[in-house]
Amino acid sequence: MSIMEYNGGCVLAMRGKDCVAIASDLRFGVQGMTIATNYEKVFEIGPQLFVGLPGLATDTETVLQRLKLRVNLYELKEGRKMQPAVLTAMIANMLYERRFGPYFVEPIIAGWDTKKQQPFLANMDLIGCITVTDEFALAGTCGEQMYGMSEALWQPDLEPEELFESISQAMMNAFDRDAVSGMGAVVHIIEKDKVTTRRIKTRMD
Amino acid sequence: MAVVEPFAGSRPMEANRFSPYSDNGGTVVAIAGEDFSVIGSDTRLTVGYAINTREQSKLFRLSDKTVLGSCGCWCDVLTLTRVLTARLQMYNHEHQKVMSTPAVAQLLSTMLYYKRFFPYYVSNILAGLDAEGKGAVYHYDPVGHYERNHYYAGGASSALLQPFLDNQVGLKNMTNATKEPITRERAVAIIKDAFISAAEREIHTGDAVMISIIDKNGIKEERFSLRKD
Amino acid sequence: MASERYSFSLTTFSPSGKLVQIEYALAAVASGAPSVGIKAANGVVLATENKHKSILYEEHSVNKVEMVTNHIGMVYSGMGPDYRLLVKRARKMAQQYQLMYNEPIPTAQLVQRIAMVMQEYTQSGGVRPFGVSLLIAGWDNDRPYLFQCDPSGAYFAWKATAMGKNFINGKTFLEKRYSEDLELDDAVHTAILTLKESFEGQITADNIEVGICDANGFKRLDAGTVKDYLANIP
Repeated sequence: MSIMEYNGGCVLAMRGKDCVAIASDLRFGVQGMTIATNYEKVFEIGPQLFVGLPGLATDTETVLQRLKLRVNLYELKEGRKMQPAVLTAMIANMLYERRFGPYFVEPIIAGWDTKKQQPFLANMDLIGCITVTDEFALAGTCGEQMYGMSEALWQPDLEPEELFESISQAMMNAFDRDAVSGMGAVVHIIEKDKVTTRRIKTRMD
Repeated sequence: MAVVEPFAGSRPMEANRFSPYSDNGGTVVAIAGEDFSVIGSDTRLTVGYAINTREQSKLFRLSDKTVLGSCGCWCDVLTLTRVLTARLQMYNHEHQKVMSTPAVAQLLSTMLYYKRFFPYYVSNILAGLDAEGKGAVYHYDPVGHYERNHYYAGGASSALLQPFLDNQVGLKNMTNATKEPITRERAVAIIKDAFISAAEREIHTGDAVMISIIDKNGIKEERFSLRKD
Repeated sequence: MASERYSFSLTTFSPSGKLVQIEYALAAVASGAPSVGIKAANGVVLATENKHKSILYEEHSVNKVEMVTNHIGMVYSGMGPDYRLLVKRARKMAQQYQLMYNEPIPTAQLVQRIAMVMQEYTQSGGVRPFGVSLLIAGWDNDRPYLFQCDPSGAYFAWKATAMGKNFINGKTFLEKRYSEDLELDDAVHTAILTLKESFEGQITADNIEVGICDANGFKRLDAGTVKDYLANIP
């Protein structure tokens, strides 16, 4: 079994009209055994900036801590909030530093670009190869399932409420076909001046 | 005098070992309705990144009320369907009647299990009408395990499409949806949407979809183009 | 050798609490060629004397006004070789920032980092402070920036300032001439006038250097353009 599938879990993000949503499942397991059902993989980095770190849980936490260190230093040094694009570049750099002994996480960055006043969405592989997208980004053990769902349910310029419906349905139905993801989900919807966080109950098997 | 053995020890025994299987991609999706079944397959045949043909349907018409969708190792598909057709012909001659869909389903399972230790590398979905005229879909693993379903996706894009069917046909995770029998038009539309989505992301699926609609009046066929890249 | 192990920094506090090495460095700056910087509404100008000791000198071959990155440039008063090391470091720091954040370095950040380097040279062993003060001009966040950076590592944000020989006269002149809503063209004019105040001999396009920084980035003006500005000066 691949290291990336050791703990299970998935993150999905979608862009809408002047909004972007990012969601993760809540399962934490060790191979087939479920340990916890409240393990979020999406973290708040700024007031309108979220990063999802699906993959090996120990690396999720290490990367998050190192990320917080760098973000805090940046914000103190520069006296301003970090923009999503800057965060993306920084994470990519951090991951590439470990090119030959990588952290086993595939980050997804979703946030509001306060400079350009538009949503931002990007993802990268575990060594920091960035893809910035206007559609959707995903990573985790049920990647294929999420691609199938998102490709069918996503469309351009969804309003926040529609986007929530699309991302939730895509996520839920995808991880219901994956044994090592699921056990509920959490969805963050980021808009110009507001972030809404909702928890979704799903089948628990 | 030394005996010269030209190739002895010059290369490992493992090299150039014959590999009997290849994966030729392809996707099959089927949906059963109240009094009909719809089954669709793409028409692309691949080996690795190469496309061998863009015009090969993976649907096999076994009778006026049974269609088999089969993909995986194409040579196994051809052999399996040839033998299966022969067995159906023999049944026809012996019993003077067309085999029912559930009987074909059982026969196929037996044929697959017969090769339990050198299996056909094939993903099968059988669609048709059962003895009561109700829509029936069966899906198989390569060694003959089978199950009757309302809908199923098999082949290269099965992981992409199964959750989509769960949602749109099985109405999973739809809290306020009423369970009504699916209409023919909706079933066909969902199959088209499914293949459009699969062709976006899965390189072994694409080019076109062949759709067979099976009801008491017989089988209607339809072709629908997909992206060709 | 035992004595080498105790070769501390040359910059050691004097009993009165001064770092005389830094004061000497400032003296080196104050006796160096003058340079001027002025912030206008739509850009910044840097100007300096680049006088040659002999007519045999090949003009415009060694520059004092240098670009650091697209939107930042700098000039100095003091010792040329020390300046070139700082330019090299500044350019590298700007590129490192770009690599890390995929975004051009803010002028304030670059200044802070250069100042850090200069401070390091006042506290490290086996080195001496830089014999230069820098004027750093930049454009970001849709506005101009002008900083001065001293050998001690202290830095200041100016609307307009002068450094080097006769800098007190230069600053007095600027105080009289400066206004908030200056256009970049007028600022170039004023900068040249400030240099002219203390200039010995005839000012020409071959013995001064001018750099401007605005929304289009930083650039050193070529001799022809400087000549056009000089034509408007009596």
